Amino acid sequence: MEKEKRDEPVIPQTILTLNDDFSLIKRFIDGDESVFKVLVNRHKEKVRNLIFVTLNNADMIDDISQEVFISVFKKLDRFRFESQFTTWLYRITINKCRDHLRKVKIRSILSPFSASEEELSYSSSNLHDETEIQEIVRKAVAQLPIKLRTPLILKDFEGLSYQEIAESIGVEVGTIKSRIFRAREALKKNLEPWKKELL
Amino acid sequence: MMKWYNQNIKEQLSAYLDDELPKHEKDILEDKIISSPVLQSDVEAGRKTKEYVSSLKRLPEDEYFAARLIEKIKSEKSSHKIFSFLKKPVIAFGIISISLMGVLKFYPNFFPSFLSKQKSNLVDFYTQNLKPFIYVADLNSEDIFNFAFNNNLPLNKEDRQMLQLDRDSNGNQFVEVKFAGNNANVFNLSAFVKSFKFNKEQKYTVDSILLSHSDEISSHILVNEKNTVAVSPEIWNSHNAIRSDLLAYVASVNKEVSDRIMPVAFAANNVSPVSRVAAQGSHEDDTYFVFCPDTIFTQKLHVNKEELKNEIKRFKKEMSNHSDELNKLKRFKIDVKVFPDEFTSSQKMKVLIDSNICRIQIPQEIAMESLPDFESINSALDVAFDQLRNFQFDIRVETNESGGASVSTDKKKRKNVQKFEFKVGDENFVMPNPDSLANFFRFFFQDSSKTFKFNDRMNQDMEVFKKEMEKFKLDMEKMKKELQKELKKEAKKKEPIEI
Repeated sequence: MEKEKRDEPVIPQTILTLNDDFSLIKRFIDGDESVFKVLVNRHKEKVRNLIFVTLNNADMIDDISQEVFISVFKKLDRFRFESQFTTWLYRITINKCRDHLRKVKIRSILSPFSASEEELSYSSSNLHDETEIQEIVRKAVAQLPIKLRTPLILKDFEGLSYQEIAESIGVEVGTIKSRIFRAREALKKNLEPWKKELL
Repeated sequence: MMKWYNQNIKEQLSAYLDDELPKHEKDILEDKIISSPVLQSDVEAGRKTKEYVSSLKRLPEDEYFAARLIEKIKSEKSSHKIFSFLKKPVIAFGIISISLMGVLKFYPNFFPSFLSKQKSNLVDFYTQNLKPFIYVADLNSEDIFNFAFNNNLPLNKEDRQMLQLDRDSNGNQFVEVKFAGNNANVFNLSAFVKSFKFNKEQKYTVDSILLSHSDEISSHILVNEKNTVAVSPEIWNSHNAIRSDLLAYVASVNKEVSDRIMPVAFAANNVSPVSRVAAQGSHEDDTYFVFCPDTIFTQKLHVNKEELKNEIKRFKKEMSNHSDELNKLKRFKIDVKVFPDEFTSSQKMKVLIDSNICRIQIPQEIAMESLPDFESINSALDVAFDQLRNFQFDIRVETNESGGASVSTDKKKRKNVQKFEFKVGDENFVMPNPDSLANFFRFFFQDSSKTFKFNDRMNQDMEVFKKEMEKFKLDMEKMKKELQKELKKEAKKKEPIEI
């Protein structure tokens, strides 16, 4: 009897609405798989954008997003309701991006003649429109080490708090604070050639 | 210390921009910012950096993402359901073992026949649509000469892929498909023509002798669009036939040279029949060595040689009559039948595969079976061709301004050489002085066609050196005699004392 109690999901004492992530997950666990589509529609854009900014590779967005949600579908019945669903979702997404980068790195070692990482190729005199600036910033972010890139994106692009980022990545808040600072310093360095126009 | 302080402040500024500082730290930092223009500009730069990342454009919404995802999950689930019982390794292993036992009990030949069928399929696949070599390459006299003399034939000139015939250190014949390096053949057709000082008419005859073997070579090499190259061992006969024809011609044109290069008891009239015997020795059902992208194997192929030769003739005629070559190529057909169950896996065949070489050592039972007693003729041909190769070296001895002499083969020149180094065939020779060099050539070529000229200064130097050496020799002898005299005197003075 006590075991059954322990296995029951611990739902925070908040009022659950029909569209709340937790209530959707609970319904999914209870056997209503149709709610999964609702859950996907609620978060798909966050996941797709996070993948795009992290990898700076539009070709991989669809594949990795699908992998993320398939993984969510398989593991959702083990969700423990101890953190936000988004935090859990971000953690899965970040792990999938890391897996992909690892594969790319191995592939680049095995095939030394494959194209190397894109260089920041715009000259400062080229920076005329918004699209070019966007491209420069996107590439500059993509050049950051993944350790620094992820917290910076989660903070500045996704708007998560240090606490949420720490939970998603699985490190201390102090580490996140330090990594975000280092990421900004590195980004400034990457954008140095366009200092006059950008900073 | 200062550096650490600055870094700490900057880290605080970064957290301040994110609104992640506790109230009291925030108040202290704000006071510092107000009083420091440097910190103010840092805050401004940090804010801009943050803004650039936060204002990165979002992707346009993908409306059908969820639908695609659900479909994918459904398909994964259905395949998962079907084979879910196999997920348990014990059950899967048990089912596989039982099925294997069943198959082996009722069909003991299942695996051999399965493997045989697979092999047969592979052979069929790679031997389909085999065409004579002429389909992809038009051999010129230079190619055929290189084939006869340097044992290589270009299969694909662009990719520098070639067929090489040769013998290993134990004398075993082998055929290999390889990528050529950048080294050009040292002894080529023009060097050959130059060596024997052939006139225009004689050169034309040499060309026609070589080209007359083109069709024969083409019939021994079959290719198709799957990058398969099937080589008949009879190509060795063609190789020797070309060599014998060339030698016979050289002998008929220049008796003196012929006597010098032909081995003893190998008269010129022995050479010509080789070509005839080689031409007669072709079978219709030949074992071919098949090089394909996946594997190397031997296979009996039925090729109607007469039909093939006629096709080649027709093909050439059409090629010369029409400019639209590609259409003619498409129409070119030759019937090559594969013997389905006779891939010769039982035959022992040594295969060497390297990064750029695929080599097959020809089994004894296949090699030269069509030409009785060919081995002795062939080894004599080898000797003759080796001597021919040596014969072609045009060695020049030149003197330079500083008075030194240089020896060169072809156009290479060496200045101020102290000794004469050169290569004849595979042998390296070092001659210490011009006289020994001249004697060597007189001995080697048995004539004095090579003359060596040295300039006056060199001769004078040599003369002076010679005189000095003679003088030195005389002085030494004189000294020796004096010494001997002295020793005798000493010996007389010191007579032994009798006790």
